[in-house]
Amino acid sequence: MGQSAKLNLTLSSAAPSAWGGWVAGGVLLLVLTVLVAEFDKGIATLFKAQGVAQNPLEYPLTAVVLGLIANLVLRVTRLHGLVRPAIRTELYLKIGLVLLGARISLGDLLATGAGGLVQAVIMVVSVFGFTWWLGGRVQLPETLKAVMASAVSICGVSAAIAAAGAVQAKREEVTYITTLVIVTALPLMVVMPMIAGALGLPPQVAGAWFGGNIDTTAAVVGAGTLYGPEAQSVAAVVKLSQNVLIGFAAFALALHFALVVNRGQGERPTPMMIWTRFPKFVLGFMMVSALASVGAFSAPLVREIGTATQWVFALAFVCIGIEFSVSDLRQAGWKPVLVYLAATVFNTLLALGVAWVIFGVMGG
Amino acid sequence: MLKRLKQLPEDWTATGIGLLIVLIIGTGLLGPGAQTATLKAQAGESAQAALPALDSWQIGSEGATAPSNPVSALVAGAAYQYQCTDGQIMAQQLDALPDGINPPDAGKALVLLSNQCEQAITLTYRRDAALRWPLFGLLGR
Repeated sequence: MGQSAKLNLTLSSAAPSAWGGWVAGGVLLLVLTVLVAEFDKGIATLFKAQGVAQNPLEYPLTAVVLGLIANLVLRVTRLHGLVRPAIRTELYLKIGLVLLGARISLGDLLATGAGGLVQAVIMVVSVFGFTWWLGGRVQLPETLKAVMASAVSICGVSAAIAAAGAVQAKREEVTYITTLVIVTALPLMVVMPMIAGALGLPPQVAGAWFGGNIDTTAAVVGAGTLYGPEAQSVAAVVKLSQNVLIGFAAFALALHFALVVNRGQGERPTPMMIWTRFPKFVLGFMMVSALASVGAFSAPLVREIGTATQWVFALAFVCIGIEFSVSDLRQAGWKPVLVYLAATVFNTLLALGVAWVIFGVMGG
Repeated sequence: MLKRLKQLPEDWTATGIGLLIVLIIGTGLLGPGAQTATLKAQAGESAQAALPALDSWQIGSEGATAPSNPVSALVAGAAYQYQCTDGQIMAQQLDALPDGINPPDAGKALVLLSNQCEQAITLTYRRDAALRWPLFGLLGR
């Protein structure tokens, strides 16, 4: 998720006043997040009155729906551009993931992370290969193919941006893939926990499935949250394991484009690229996790950090709703959409099988 | 300074903010932080206090033997009675509030002290800031 700041910076510079936008957007986000909390409480009370102890409509769903409503209102009133600087889904999400480290000990991290890394390597190689092959069959441009294959196989937007930098893709291609990623991730976030529930998947397997398949980290955390705390932790760790492969993928892509596609043109691949593209917030997550493992945090602190994590995640989910846009898709035609959807279906089925073997049969 | 902060990569910004939140909550700048409540009751009298519904409370007493069954985890809306008889304090959770006692505010629990002993007693509920200090409590483990 390393290079997403670039995209945000470009987008925010388009706004009339970045600081005004930060203030206006910040106030809007605050109000919406408080509303999420209030709605969540109200919905839970309603379900409880019907004899349903656990609220099936968890807060990520409420947050996305409120974000979508705000999105509609902002676009109708032409204020969407004004609040844009504060809509920083990736930033809020990364903060939340750093905080999530307080709940996951280093032992859990190593146990789940090792399985997650094995799963990530299998998934990234297979899904990247499949998308690359299918994109070639329908003659997609090389750069679009590279950005799409990275996005669908690694971690959506951030991987798309990292790959775009490595292969010198056009900005429209990144925007296009980014939109596809968000459009696909939202329904998956809701549908996958339902399917997992219907299949009776254990939380570990379900979490690994969400983490291995859904492209955006936000939607992965959202799906995990909908399924339960254990699924959320596993989903986040599996996704983080996948995220750390961004640098390697970007390096390999740059190498391929420099040696084969462009023969010497484009970004020059160096081993430093692996570190440059490495998602540094993972280090923050591991730091907090290490502190939790040595007993630095008391039980009340873990609970309080958990509350803070929920608030930051709620902010991110509201932002997902506000960012949602399908208009960019119309410009590029349906061929890439079909390749992306086919790759997503392949990803979904393969991730279920791999998660079941690694986290179900082999026990993580 | 502000300009430099704006130029900080998003990953490092997120890491910094995340760690800052941990520090702020841990040192009690945000959230309940360190708490102390002291209930004093003369012989034959009672005292009460509403405390945040949290766990890890440390309970101490003066004037009587410390409770053998202290309630260190308080549940929101619940009421707990400490009763001193024959120089010994015993705790129990009440099913219903005694007459004339109002229920605690949201997120709080009620602690009642009833002194049937012959001398004044003091009951103390103390809770450290969530973050263990110094050095996160590592040395004390």
